[in-house]
Amino acid sequence: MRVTALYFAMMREKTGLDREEFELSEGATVREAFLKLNEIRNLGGAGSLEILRFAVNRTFSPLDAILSDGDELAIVPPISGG
Amino acid sequence: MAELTRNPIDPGSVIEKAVVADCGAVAAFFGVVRDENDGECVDEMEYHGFEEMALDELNAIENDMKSKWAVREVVLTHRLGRLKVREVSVAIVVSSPHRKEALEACAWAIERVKARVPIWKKEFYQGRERWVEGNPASLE
Repeated sequence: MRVTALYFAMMREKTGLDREEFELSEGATVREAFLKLNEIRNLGGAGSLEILRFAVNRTFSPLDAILSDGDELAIVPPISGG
Repeated sequence: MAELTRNPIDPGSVIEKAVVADCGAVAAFFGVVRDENDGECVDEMEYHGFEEMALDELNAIENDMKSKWAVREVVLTHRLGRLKVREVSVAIVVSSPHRKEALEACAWAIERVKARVPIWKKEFYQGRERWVEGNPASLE
């Protein structure tokens, strides 16, 4: 299935991208998607899972959430607004 | 009313939006760019957001405020783009018949904004720039 990763802030600067599509196995979780992305982009490795949050189709989602074809997965570094 | 804006936020105008004739209390919070962060003198701050989701979250915060407290008007405005020191980055204004609800809801709202709204800020100082470290403790 195809999923689109969305990058923001320091992640956008690090990757040079604001979004990219990538292939994932059916039934893959958010965690698996991030680790797959980390193979092709330097996103900080598995350790980053402790500080990153993720949003699937604009809703914060846990690491074990299952993705579907066409989903947008936002990688959300610790936010600093307000 | 929840919104993102790239225009300067005028506190008086924002407050005016929340004032209603039968509400005796208006509570307001304004986040302002200050001239120091982590020991460094700040020249400017630049706010970036996942805009569609940030607006979703601001709307959700407004709805939660109205369901948790008997408040009437809620104004939540966050600015994006580059701001100078002393400019307003976020405004939260709440009106309610009596002060307890307005004050509590306003205090709750800013914590919620800082925990959930996907906005990041980059500081510019002495010719350098760096992303402000967000607080991982904001993870729920």
